[in-house]
Amino acid sequence: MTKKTFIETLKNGLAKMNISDSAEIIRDYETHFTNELAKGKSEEEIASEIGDIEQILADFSPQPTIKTHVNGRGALLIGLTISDFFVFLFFIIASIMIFIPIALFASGSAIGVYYVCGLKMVSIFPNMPYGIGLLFGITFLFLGLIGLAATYFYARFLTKMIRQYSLWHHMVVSKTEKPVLILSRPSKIMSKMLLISSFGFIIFGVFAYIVAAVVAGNLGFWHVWHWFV
Amino acid sequence: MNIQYKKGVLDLLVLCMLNKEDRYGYDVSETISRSISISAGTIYPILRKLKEDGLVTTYLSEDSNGPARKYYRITTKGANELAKTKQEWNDFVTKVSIIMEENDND
Repeated sequence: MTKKTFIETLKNGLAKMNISDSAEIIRDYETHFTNELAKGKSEEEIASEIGDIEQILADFSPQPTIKTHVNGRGALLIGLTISDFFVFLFFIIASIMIFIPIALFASGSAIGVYYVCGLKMVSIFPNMPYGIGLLFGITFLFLGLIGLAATYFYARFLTKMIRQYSLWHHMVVSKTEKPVLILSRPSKIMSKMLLISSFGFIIFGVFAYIVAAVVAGNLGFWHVWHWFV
Repeated sequence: MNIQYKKGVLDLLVLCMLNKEDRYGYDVSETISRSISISAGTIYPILRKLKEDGLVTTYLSEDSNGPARKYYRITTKGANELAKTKQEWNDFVTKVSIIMEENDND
């Protein structure tokens, strides 16, 4: 490659990247050629020593950084504080909401155990023949497991959101590039448990209903056993 | 030697050289490539990046022989950055040597 071709290629490449100070860059390379030529090297030799022109262009390509001007920084911090306030409120409410799946887990398991063990001491829980109570008990135990898995996934989701927000916050303040969020993979046991307990809940629920309806001889078996009165 | 090793320290070397005296781009490139083998074109993007970051400035100076040369001069910000990076580099090298010595089989 001759000096002329090299400089032309460089100029075109820099122009494509919208680099404003390309004339200054070109000047450095022209000086380089002048000095090396003075040593008695050929243009081709010099061009090949400079290295791969694509690599050089890549080295000049603009870096993806967030540029905040000094006078805009105050406004940025105020905006960030306001954003933090609302996001913080949102995270508090979202954190409190984790009691929904926890309550599902607790009540599902408690009712499940109550019927599976054939207990009869709580008067507001309707009595039923033990076999049917067992089926409904198992259905509730599955519901409890769904609650447990839901708690796990909800907590995971929440942690991910909070971490992502804090990373973003940090990125804006320190003007660095976006960091990569590394997350652990979701637990396979929890995924399987959610799947199995969902199936179990549906199957046992339907089965318990059918058995109860057949035993009571009425599709609305709860009337026969005087529930909810 | 791995190119990634070199790229990490070239900024530091360039700042070091400019901290001693003002130099023009070719001079910097030549001096470094005398001891470390790099492509001749590698230093210019580094110089430009240092300028963009405000660590160095440039000025043109007429020389007796030939056209005006673009000289690079370190700024106060650049000198501060150099002091910091130098410290970090020295700490790093010390730690690397310690670990290497501790695990030397010979």
